[in-house]
Amino acid sequence: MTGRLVKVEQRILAKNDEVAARLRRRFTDAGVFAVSLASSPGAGKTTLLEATLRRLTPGFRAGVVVGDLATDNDARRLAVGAGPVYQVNTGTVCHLEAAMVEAAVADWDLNALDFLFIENVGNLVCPAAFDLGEAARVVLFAVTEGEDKPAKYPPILQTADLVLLTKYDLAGVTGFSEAAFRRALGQVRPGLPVLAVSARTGVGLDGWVGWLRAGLDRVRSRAR
Amino acid sequence: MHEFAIALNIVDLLAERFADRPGTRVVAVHLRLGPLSGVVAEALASAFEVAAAGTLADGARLVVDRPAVVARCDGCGREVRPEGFWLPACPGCGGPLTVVQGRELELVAVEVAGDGTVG
Repeated sequence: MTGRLVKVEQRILAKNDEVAARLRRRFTDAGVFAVSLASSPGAGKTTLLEATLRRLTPGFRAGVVVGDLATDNDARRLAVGAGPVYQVNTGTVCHLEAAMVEAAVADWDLNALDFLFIENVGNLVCPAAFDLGEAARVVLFAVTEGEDKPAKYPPILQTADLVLLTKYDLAGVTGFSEAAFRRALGQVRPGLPVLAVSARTGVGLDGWVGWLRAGLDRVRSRAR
Repeated sequence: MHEFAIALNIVDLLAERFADRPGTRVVAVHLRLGPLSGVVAEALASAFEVAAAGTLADGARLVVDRPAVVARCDGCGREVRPEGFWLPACPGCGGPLTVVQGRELELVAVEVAGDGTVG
């Protein structure tokens, strides 16, 4: 059966994009450098954030929004700095959406923050489709995951601004080839910057914090 | 990925759109689904059948336009239409490519009946 044609021309995920755009403006206006972290489960997002927050305190104030299906384990671990921490429990939803982030920061004084870290649910697939309003998206791969992982997950890498190669202290033990990893990444996003880090030994963390501070400077110069 | 959630989203958009015209029936839904949208048309069609049951779009057929992937080189400006899903670098100058078409997940139009209008 045919009917009368009514034009709509609307993005189906338009709602998420609207909320994300609103968040992005709020973060920029408040001079907050918002960074999201995505990875497969267990690649070390929370451990890296713990180490990062320790380095940023007391000079900088950072808020954290962390998403998991269940438990507030991560929020408890991340309550190391002076800033606010909010645990989103998504139930069965496998990714964070902009509306969840908006609800998480609803009562926060964003002007009092320098950084906002958004730790996504461990998942390299679904987060790719959901803009969270962040200024930069960081994707983590651990040396224990194998060198070809980046080539297997093009969508999330298309949205990434930085790759962190984590658990770098285990590279020797696992026989990890950094050259092979960079080749795999080059198949999908040639030129995307990579920083090798170990949250445990501290290697690479200076560079990571430097990258964060440069991002904060960029946001601040735009907010002026 | 999430075809059922997307189907529910579509039904919600339709209900919102025609909330002021109860009795409207949606008989067809025209979508634009790019290959890079992460949504598989066949899976979406099955999910939509379930999601639309009992709603204004019950039984509506899906009409899916599938645009090709088109990318433009940031370096030389050349337009590239990759065969597969991914093409990391410009085949001409080796520069980075920006996708300009192929990510669409859009509700283009609907065909309605029973909303009281003529023509």
